[in-house]
Amino acid sequence: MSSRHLRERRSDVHPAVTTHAGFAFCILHYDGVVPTTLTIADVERIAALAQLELTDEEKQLFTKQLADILRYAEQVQAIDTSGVPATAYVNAAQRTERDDEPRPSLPTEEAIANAPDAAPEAGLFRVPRVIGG
Amino acid sequence: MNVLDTSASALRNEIAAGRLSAAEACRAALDRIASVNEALNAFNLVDRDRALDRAGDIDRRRAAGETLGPLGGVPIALKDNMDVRGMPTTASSRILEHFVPPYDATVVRRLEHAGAVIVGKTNCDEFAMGSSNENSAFGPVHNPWALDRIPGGSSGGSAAAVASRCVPLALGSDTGGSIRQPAACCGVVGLKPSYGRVSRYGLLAFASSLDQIGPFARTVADAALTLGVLAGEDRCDATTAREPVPDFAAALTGDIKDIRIGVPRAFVNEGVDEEVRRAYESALDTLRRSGAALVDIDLPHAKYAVPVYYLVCTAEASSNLARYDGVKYGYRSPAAKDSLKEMYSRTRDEGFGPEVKRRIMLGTYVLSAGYYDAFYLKALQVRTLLRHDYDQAFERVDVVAMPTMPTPPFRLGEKASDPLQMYLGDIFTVSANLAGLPGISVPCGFSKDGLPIGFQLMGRMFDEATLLRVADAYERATDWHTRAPSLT
Repeated sequence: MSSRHLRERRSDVHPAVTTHAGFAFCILHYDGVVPTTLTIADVERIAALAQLELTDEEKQLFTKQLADILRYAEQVQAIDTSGVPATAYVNAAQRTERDDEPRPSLPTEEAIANAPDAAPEAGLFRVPRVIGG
Repeated sequence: MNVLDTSASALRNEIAAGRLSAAEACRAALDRIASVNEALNAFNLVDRDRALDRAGDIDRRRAAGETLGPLGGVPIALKDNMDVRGMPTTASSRILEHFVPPYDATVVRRLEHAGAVIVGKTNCDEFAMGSSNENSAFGPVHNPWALDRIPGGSSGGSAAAVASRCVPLALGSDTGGSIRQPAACCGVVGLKPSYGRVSRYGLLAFASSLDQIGPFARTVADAALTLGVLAGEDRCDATTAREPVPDFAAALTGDIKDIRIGVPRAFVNEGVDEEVRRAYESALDTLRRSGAALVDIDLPHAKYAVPVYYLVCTAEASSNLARYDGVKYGYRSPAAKDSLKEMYSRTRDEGFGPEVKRRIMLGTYVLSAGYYDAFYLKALQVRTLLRHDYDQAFERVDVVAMPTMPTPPFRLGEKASDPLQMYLGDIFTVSANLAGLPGISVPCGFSKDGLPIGFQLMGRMFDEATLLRVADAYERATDWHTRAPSLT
């Protein structure tokens, strides 16, 4: 599975914000989506996105528990945040670039040593069929 | 001298002076672990041979005239989510079954360079997700003060190991209170440094904008000593700060007459157990009598810290834990041989425990189309407001004091079926992570049932020196930290 990254949206960054926060963005439009209920179908959809095959029992349990947690979390939606930049990361002002110099890295043999299934002679990880499976 | 009751700095000095060998100190720790671990379940792994081997090295180097490092010969335990080359890391999860890391975490290199002797890996909530240590695939850790109580989480094994005198020092990781809260539950000192102070290279990532490694100790001075060893920039972790690392131990002057302590009355007055409130008020009084000034402050957004935290940390976790897919390391479901997609989803369902799945699900939901703005982005904006609350408070005060946990440690199983109730208990600890601030929990009393209570001090970003100075002054004025559980 390719790793999913947190999506970064940058739009209309306020000039005062860019000075100290690389990850800052402002919200100009906000739909105010407020889910008060969660269905088993919602849970199945999320599980599929997260590559989790849940049992029926887990689906029932998570439908209730996630709805409880989300209802509780909805209180943040009532806070006025107009013009407030987002904090994704607190050290955003720090320069993180470095010179692109080659450095020692993990030898292939060690990198694949923990694989549940590997082809050491070829230096590869082995997975079940991807196409036509 | 009772080796097990001796502080890390005193042990190191005894070993340096040749009055005690590192091997003797190591053997005492290993024997203590062997005698209490069945009751506590604090250790996932004890590497006796490696530890004795390293301790022997220290003794040989001392005999050859080498000066010992600041932790020379001191036994230490690591939470089982940090990598030591050749020693299994499990994160207390089935999905990392048989994983043996091919490299050392930066904190491991720094500890061993300073002469510390790693004795083993401690039990924790799976992938550091939990506040009670009940989410471990290897069973819960038991509180050394009362075996039917939680040791706190997620670094419960490290806290229990230090409290039960197995080791004078242990490392934990703190994403929303996972060092400070178990420290309070077990009656020891727990320090979460500022975000960026300590390298996370070799720490299994849970929520990367919040995770930080820090020490457990029985004294503030030992925590300061250990932070000095751990802290500093690391080219392997781009989030580490280039801030100078001061001599933290030298900051412990005992004098806090210049210190202003912020007290967020309105925030602390809600939902705090009466015994915890009394212990907290009494701690404030002690600090005032030691010369500090108490100043009322307002943190208007602090009450939103729990929802903000659980929206942010689950979003980051859902991304970070995508890497556990049965391909590169760890467990792979034997049930799915025919398709890659099925292999992923079966492996993850069988390999992750319920709390980890719940958080991956929640994080996936709040990042998904239609809910991203309403939940995730909104939480990041409120996180900014919360940071501003603290920025404003720190214009008037040097540290902020509050309870570490709203109740004494509760019974194992008491909240296990209601995740939301469990999350609400994190109200006082999550803000430090969201704002990147350092925080320390210090023992400040016991409930009438004999359960430890801690209080927390938070400081300005990268001002651990002031934080430690105030905590140490409190410790000098009290004797809570000298009490030990009566485990036999």
